[in-house]
Amino acid sequence: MRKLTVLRTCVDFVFFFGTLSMVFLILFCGLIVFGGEPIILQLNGYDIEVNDWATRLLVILAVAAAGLFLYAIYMLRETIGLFRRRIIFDDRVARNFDRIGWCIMVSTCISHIPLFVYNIIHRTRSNFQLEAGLSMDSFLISVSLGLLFMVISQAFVAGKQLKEENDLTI
Amino acid sequence: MAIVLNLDVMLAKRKMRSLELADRIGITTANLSILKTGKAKAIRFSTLEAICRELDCQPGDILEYRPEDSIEYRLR
Repeated sequence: MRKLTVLRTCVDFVFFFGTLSMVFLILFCGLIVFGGEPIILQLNGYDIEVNDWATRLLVILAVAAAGLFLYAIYMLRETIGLFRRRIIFDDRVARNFDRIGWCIMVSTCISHIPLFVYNIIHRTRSNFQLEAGLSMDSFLISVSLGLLFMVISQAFVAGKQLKEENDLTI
Repeated sequence: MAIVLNLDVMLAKRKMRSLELADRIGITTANLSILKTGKAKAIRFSTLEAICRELDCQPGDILEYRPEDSIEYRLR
């Protein structure tokens, strides 16, 4: 199946460079958290000066969110591997999709919500904007994508039951 | 599963082996084994018709209802 091969190649590419980036992110996070000098970063479009534990926590949460997203990519890679072996309606596939959904949702929440709360508390002027864009940075789109994967997981559970019933119909 | 297919008694009466019955009705011995051990979730009418034709019996002769084997009975 050519589409599956192309998908596998794309996901492998993203996973490889994501893993490399994660290594540097973790090192960078360590430098920021335990380093003495304040540093200005941009997180989700907001400029943050990392000079106290609140901002350091934001950086840690952002790195954790990236790690969760990378785990979701890893789970997707595993699922594609199962599809290549013609294992489609299986508990492992349903479990992987569920985990992918959870990872995307949790990753989105821990990267957006604390930053939003921090901005409300520390910014001198309140600035609320509802992101309704079509990019992957959109909170709503990301949460919806996470929920979609969880729904797909339930669909595969139902599919597995139907397949089992069909296989055991003589 | 509360519905059980009792093929062994009828096979013994007709002096037929499982392999022979499976060949005659066009299913594999593995599928026949699934039927005999009660693991099947459903049986097609065409398969039931073929079994009854080859064993010269009625569906009631080979189908049995055992309520104590049903999940609902066990959960009561």
